[in-house]
Amino acid sequence: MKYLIRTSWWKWLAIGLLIYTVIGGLLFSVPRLPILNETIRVLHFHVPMWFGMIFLFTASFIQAIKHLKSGSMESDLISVQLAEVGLFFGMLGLLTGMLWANFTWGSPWSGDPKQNSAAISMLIYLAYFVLRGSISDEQMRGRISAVYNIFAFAALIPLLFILPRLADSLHPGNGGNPGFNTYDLDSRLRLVFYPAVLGWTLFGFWIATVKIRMSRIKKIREDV
Amino acid sequence: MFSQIFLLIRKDFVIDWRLKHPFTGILLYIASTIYTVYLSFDAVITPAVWSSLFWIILLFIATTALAKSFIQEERRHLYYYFTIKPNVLILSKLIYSFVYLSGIGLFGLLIYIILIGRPEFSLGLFLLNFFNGVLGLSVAFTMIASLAVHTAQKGNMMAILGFPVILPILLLAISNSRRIVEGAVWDQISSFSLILTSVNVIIVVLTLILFPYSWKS
Repeated sequence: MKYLIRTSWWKWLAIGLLIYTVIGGLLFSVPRLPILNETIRVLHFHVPMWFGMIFLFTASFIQAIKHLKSGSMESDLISVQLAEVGLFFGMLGLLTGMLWANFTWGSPWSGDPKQNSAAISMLIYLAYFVLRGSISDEQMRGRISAVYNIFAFAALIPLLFILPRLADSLHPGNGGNPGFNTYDLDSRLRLVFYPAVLGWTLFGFWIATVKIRMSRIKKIREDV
Repeated sequence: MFSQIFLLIRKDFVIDWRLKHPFTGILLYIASTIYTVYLSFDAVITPAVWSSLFWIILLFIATTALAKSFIQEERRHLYYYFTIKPNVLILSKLIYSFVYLSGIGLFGLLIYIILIGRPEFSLGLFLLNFFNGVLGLSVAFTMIASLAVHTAQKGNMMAILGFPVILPILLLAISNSRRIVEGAVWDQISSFSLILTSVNVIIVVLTLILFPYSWKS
């Protein structure tokens, strides 16, 4: 994280990739599939949110482990901000998915197994913030919430990667990868999709670094 | 180490035996919940509803029953801190919670069957899945209880923190028992049982690793 905060080349990369994603994702030609039609373009805006969320939560999980090992409050601060941005990405993933489902499945929420697991993972991380709010001692808050963070991350894995594979779902890519089917991906889609994943993920970390700086300053001001 | 674990487990049961009211209170709680269910779900219970309702009842009982596991230790906190290793304490708590919740659950199942009746299914398989699910419930809620004890609203925290985390286990247990109630045989559910067991193993290992950190304060 420290390296990411100091350097800036990857921010330019994120900007470039996202401009490319928006232009390419909306204008390039896409394969014409029944029912999906033009909504297939959501692939570049919906699926990368989940990639971003997973990466951010993983980073938050790693910082939580670091905090438990060293007791450094810096890791605790970073861990929280990463989880917040991860949660934000998850919410965006849910919203873009609902928007898409409204056009293809006929209603924004149809209780699909994948929608449900996504919603439950949001609940888990919301509970994480409730937990932080209910402990007043700083050291204690850091340790207890880091333990819950690790526990929550472990619950997230079966939720996102195992349970959806056991149930029937309408979601594209059913029966294999939980998000989409790699073999369905047309080379025209790949041309935008992979840069989109990288771009949105970098953008997520960028937001996180700004938030980390802000909360550092806030903490210094509180201490003074 | 084993003698310490044994003594700690025995101590918890002795407390239950001497105090009586927490344990009998929980039994009364589960009995009256089942009675409420019996009266309000009269004649609409299909086999699938039967198994799901049972697990939901068990979920709520587990939240209340296992909340006490660390709250009752608060005054002994310092004493434990100097005399035993945290792993010994958590292992004894896990075993105790599992036995405690299994007992309450079996009592509940008995009343549930007496009042609501039971569809035709293999009881052996159902019990196997029952113990598998109860293991997950008891371990996860014991861990959550050890976190909730440090917060301001201990009682609410059990439900707020516990429900989302327990959902994967609960969903696996419910879908398994639903298959059993609808007449599945071992071959049809073995892979799902194995997944549930492996999720349980992960949670047990995590609890053993993480508990020492949440304990020292």
